[in-house]
Amino acid sequence: MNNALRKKAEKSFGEGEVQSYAGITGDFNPIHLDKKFAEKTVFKERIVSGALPIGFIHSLYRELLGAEFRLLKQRAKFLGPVYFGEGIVFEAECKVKGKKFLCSSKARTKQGKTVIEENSEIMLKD
Amino acid sequence: MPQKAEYKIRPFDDLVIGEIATLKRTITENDLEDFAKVSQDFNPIHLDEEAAKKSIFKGKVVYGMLLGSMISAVIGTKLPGNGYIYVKQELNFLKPARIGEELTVTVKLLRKFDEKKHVELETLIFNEKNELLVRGTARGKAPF
Repeated sequence: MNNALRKKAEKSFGEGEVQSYAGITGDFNPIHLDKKFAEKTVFKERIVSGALPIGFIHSLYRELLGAEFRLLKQRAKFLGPVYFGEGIVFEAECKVKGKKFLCSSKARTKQGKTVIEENSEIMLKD
Repeated sequence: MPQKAEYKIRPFDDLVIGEIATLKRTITENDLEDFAKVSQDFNPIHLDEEAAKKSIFKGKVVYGMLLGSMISAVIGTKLPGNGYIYVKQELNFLKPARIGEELTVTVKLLRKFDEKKHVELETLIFNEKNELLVRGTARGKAPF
């Protein structure tokens, strides 16, 4: 734990990001885009595309490790919804293991509920 | 974003084990530039050919998380379809994807968990030489 690199940051995700993400990736799931559709779901309103907080977590890894890295494995658990405009607190940590970095992150709401757990295996330039 | 009056919803009970959905897509340089803006990931191996040539990849490669998003697009719009979301996902990046090659995402329904309305999916991405680039699994759930 002594050699771990850590970073904490807060971010919220809004209309613009969700829209442009959908346009670029083709991920037009209406639960992210259509208010009426989302009202009929258990969430009652639209939720943010999971890829946006995951992308933000990866930007924290890049800040910790430097720009040029190669992603080998990535996994995530989505434990709860992230709502539009909701401030989410991210805690990222990277540790060296052999030639690789093992990075992990948690995303929590302001109320302390963990919404995402993420793990990535990353290799720097070889 | 597409404006649809009504989105078709696949009821959980209608989903069949073994069902497959695919998506074909060719990633362009423009796509990488757009993805850089939305992800704030300006890693030169995705954007700068000269720098990318000097890297282990010997040329520009597609963002791993853009590949992941293509899988998410299939799950959330095709199989199981509109409204379904991730409970968890796992991706193994085996080989890099290149600009201009046609990529095929294949999602297969492996298991259903009736009580929780969860599905387990196999998620694969191949290049046009039929090489496996990304191998993964996902668990999705119905939000209805």
